[in-house]
Order: sequence, then structure tokens, then C-alpha cells
Amino acid sequence: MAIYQRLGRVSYTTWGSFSVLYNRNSGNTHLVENIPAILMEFCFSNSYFDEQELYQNIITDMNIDDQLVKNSLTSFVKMDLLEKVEN
Amino acid sequence: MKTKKIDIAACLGSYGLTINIGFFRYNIRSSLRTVEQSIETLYSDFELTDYETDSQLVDFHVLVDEVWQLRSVFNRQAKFFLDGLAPFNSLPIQHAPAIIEWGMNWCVSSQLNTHLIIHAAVIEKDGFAAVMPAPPGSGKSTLTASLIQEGWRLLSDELTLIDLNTLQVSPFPRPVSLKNESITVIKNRYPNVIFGPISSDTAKGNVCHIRPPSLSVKNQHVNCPIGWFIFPKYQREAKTEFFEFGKAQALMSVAENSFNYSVLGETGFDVLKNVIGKANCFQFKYSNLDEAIKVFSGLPVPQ
Amino acid sequence: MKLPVLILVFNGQIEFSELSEKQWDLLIRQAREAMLLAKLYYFFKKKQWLDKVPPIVFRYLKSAQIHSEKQFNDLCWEVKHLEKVAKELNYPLILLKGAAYTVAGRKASQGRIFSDIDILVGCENISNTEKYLMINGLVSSEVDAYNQRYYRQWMHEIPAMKHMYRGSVIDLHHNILPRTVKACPDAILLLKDSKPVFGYEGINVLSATDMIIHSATHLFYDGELEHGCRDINDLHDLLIEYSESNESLDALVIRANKLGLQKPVYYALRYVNFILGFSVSKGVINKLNKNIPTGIFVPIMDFLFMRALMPAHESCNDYWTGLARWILYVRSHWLRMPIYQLIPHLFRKSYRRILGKETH
Repeated sequence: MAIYQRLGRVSYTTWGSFSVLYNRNSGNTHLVENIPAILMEFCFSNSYFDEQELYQNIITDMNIDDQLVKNSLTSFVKMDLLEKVEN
Repeated sequence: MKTKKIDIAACLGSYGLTINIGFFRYNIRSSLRTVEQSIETLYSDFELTDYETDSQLVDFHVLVDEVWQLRSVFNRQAKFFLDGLAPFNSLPIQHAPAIIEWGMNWCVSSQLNTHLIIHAAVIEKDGFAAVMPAPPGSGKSTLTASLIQEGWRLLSDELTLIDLNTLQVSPFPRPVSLKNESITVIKNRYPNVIFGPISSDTAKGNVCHIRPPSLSVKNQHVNCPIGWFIFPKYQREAKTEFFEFGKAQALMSVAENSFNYSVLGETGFDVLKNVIGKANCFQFKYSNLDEAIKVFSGLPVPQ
Repeated sequence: MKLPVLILVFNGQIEFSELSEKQWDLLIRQAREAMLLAKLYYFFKKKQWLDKVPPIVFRYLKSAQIHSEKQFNDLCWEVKHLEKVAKELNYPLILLKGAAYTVAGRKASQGRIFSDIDILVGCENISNTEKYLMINGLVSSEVDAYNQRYYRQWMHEIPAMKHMYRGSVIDLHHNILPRTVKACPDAILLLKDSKPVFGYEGINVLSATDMIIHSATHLFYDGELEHGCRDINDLHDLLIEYSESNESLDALVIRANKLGLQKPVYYALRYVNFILGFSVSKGVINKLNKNIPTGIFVPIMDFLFMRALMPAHESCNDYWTGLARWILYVRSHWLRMPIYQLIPHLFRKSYRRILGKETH
């Protein structure tokens, strides 16, 4: 499973099913939909984590499926919030 | 304290005429008669002083004067200067009254970062501000010009200034700009409104400015919190539609309509997060001004 | 010539409590013109004067400081991207000027407003570096064939490259002066002495002495003296910081002699002393072993530079300022290219400027 590195501090806020994320490094602001708070909290508070850790942490929320996790991680990488670290 | 007519011309032509607008002080110089007339008409409620005998410390030293260019052969040209810097190309000299208004806005939007500056009109009632971000063509000017005749206080028709610390709006009430049909609409609806000179055939069409209400000028130091973000859109013959706008989308829209959101970095994001969190956000489509005014008078009072 | 109030504040000849309203007004306007508002903010902050500054003045100092903080943030982000490029290369990317001051944590970086990021690599590595920068999204901003040729044939840099999405601009150099300049130093000496930057991989900066010498060379050879006031302040900051960890300026002088750049260092020490009060012993200056202006040249250059190094604001000008700036502009071109190229080049530039196709 891949390891991810947090690229820097992110500020975010959620209203309903939408969240706005501010990337302090790139200065870009992003609007996202339907990304659970527990997922964002985990991704943005650890410097390094692997996908296994991530799944263990969000297991309590039954609504989160594999595809959602994968899509979210891909989005965060695109937004320069996370970096996939080659093993 | 008002200065006599002859003093205004003399000040403008020598050391300058100082005007206090909101918390700003402008020192204005111009040898153009149209600028003198425009200021006399539109700024009669403001405190105007002679720069030479008043405080020497101002925010902006601005100048609008004739310049000689190759184009002057066809049409005399005028240019706006902030302390020697000319941010815009020259324009036909008859547009000088509009040039100085645009230039005075530019000074604030290009130099100030102690406030989050949004390209939006902002008006106040019952202690709360309604901020209306709108790109050109949304009808924001006509709407603003009407609402301020219907009991709303004008804080600004172009630049909403949000104090980064207090999160309140700082007023910047200046002559409200109108274009093309809205000039006729406002003239017919509100015959008592004072109009400045009309600049015809500008890049935006016919442009003019109306004098801000005296009470708005009198209260230009009274800040207030934001109660509503309303995104207006004028559409010919459209039915009046007024509905809640998601706060996340509202934040993105406001950020897009801001001059210095990106410069402010994380602070800009935090400020918007807080003010939008506390305000009610709406989208608003209309074609009928009477109905629009009614919608505004019925806005839900913020907590 | 009377020094402007901005300079008098920076060199300590005036304290904030002595400033009249008129002088506060001029202070802001001169600082705005010279792009030194943010630097002034940090200057007042260090002296603990910020809370004594009139509100009208404070709001523009603060606004500029906020802007400079954002620029700092953006620069760090760009350098992170440059690290990725450096990884593909087997030589370091050497940052110059503002970008260098920032990554190396120099005092000169505080409050500085940047535009481009300047990078130095060996001459033989220019094409390769250009290639990898292009792979990473940078494109040349110069479309005019004449200008492309001019740059690659005569200059010490290739035309600026702009990032397609981020908008950042990179200036890639192979030396700190054009090939055509007599005093063009041996770039290998600069590259050899460059130092890695703590916290970054593959990113270097010039050695402490070379950073000062480069700053002096850029200022006293370049025609862009609209930034002269800012640049002399940068030099001052670099020299102060250098003096704090070096007992004397001897090493600086020895290096200037080795690189053959005695002239700009002479001017740097002279004018940093005249304008900002940085003390330089005559003994040090005498150790510069050649190329020093003598005789009538000295008062002539004083006449020119003491005008051109002031903020480009009307309150700092006298009757001769315009002429002084123009003479130095021509001089900078004359130093860079032979006369048979200079005249046609200046003609072409003037012609294109009238047509509005060029701004400098």
C-alpha cells in the first residue's frame, strides 16, 4: 500500500456536504464535495501515513467506501496537499 | 465645513483639495473644469479642505490632467496619476470625471491590505451590512442606487472593505456609478437624486455618478458587521427568485470577486470563513426593481 | 545634495519623533516609489516604533509587509518545485539575489519584494537546465527573434521563462555579467565557491563574499537604476550581516581582486558609506588593487550615482536627476556592448518603445 506525505498546513471548513480547503503553500483554495470530516482530519494531521493506517482510522464510519477514499486521496495529491511517496 | 466655489477651483489648481472619505484622505489636483464641476456636485456633503493649510499627511496624492500623446491630434487626452504613477492609459478629456472616480477606487484596491477588499456593493440597514458581489452586467449598480433611496445606508458601491481584525465593514461611501439604461431608470424613479456629468462613449458606454445620500456621508465612520451576502443577477423579464446559496460556494464566489484574497493568504481564508459563517447567503435573480426592493426589506434578520 | 527623508530615517540621521507631518507624508511616498515600504515596516518594528507611527502611515507599511509575506511564501513554494528539477540534474541550481537572500535567511530578504527568480548554472549546462525547466512547465517569454538572439549571443542570461500555470518567472544565468563586458568574471570561480542551502537539496547560493560582489556588480553595471535605492539598501544589509561574522572586509576585497570586480565593490563601499552611513576604513578600499576610478572620474560618478541611487520620486529629484539617470543608462549599455552594436541597439529599443512594444 502507498505511503502519503503531508505537504504542508491546510486550513479547511465544512458546511453541509461541501468543504473549502485552503493550501497554505500553493495559496490555492479548493471546493470539494462529500469528503467526510474524519477522512480529512486524518489526512491533514499526520506527516506520513500509509493507506492501511488510514483505513483503520476511518473504519468506524460505514459510509466510507474504498472508491471514496481513493478518489479523495487522488484529489488531495492533485491539490498539492499530499504527496504519494515512492517506496 | 464647505468651502466656497471659487476655493475648490483654486485648491484643485494649486496644492490640492483634500477630501475625507471613510477613513481615507485624498489630496486631489486637477486643472480641468469638468473635474471641478464634478467634485462640486458630487462631494458637496463631504469635508473639503485646502491641502496647503490643512494636515499634510494623506493616503493618496492624485492628479487628473491633460496629457499630450499622439492620440491628442484627434481627441484631447487626460490621464490619472497617483503620485506620479499612471496606472491607466489616457482617455478622452471629456471623461475626466469618470477617470478620477475609477482612479480613486484603484488607489485603494491596489495599495491596501489591512482589509479584505471585495469587488462588491455594500449597504446597511438595522446595523447589518448586505454585501453584493457582482461582476459587470449583474445590475448591481441600479439595485444599489435604488436601495440607498429606500432607507438603506450606502457603505460603498464598488469596494467592500472588511477589517481583518474586527471583521466589520469600513464604509467608503462615494458617488455611485451608473451606466447606460440605469441612468434613465434612476432619473425617472428618483427625480431628486443629484447627477454628476455624463461621460458618453466610454469603453463601458455612457457613464455617470450620483451624489451619495447625505446621511451615508454623515455616518461614514460607522462600521458594521455583515448580515448577508447576496449575489444579484439582473435578467430581462425574469421572475424574481431569491434562494439560499450554499456557504461553501458563496465563499468561493466571494474569493473570486476579491482584489486581495490571495495576497492575504491564510488570513484571507480565515476572514471569509468567519464572515460567511455568521452571515446568510443568497442568490437573487430579478427584473422588476419594485419586487427587488421588497425582497431586500424582507431579509431575515441575522442572529 | 540633500538626502531624502527616507534615507535620513534609514541611516539614523532622523528619529521618528523628529518627523513633521510633511516628512511622514514624503516618507511613505518615497518608500512606495522605491518599493521599500515593507522594509520600512521591519525597520520600525526592530526599533519598536511601530505603535508610534501615524495610522495613515501604518496602514501602508502593514499592507506592504503583508504583501511581502505572501511573496516569501510563494517563493518558498517555487523553490520546492525547483528542488524537483535539481533532482534530475547532477549539478546544483544556484539562486541569486532576492531568492537567494530568502532561502539563505539573509536580513536583506526581510520585506523584499521580488519579481523573478534568478538562477546561475555553468555555461555548459544552460541547454540541459533549460530543457528540464521546460519539462516542468516553464516556457520562454520572449517571442521576438532579435531579442532571443541578443540574449543568447551577448547576455549572461537567456530570455526569462514563465511557468504556464503558476505564473512564476525564472531568469537563467551562466554568469553575473554579459560576455561582452571587459570585467566579466570567471563564472567557474563563482560556481566552485557556492554553498548548499540548509533545508534544501540541490539548491545553492553564492558564498557570502560573492553574494555581496554580485549585488554590487548588478547595481553598478546595470542600467535599471529605478531600483537603485532598494539595491543599495540590500547591499547595506548584506554588508552589515557580513561584518557581524567577519572581523574585517579583507576577504571581500581579496575576492573582488581575484574576480576582477574591484570597480563595483569600490562604488558599493563608497556609496553605502555616503548614503547609509556604513563605516568603511580607507585602508580596506586601498587594498582594491586596480580598476578603481581616479581623478576627475570620482566626482563625476558621485554626481551621477548620488542622484540615481535615491528613490525615483519627484521629491528626491533635482534639476540634474533626469540627466544623471539617462547617462547611467547609456553607460550600462556602453559597458556591455561594443559601440558598433550599441547605437543600432539603442535605436531599435527607442523605436519599439515609441510603438509601445517594449517597456524597457
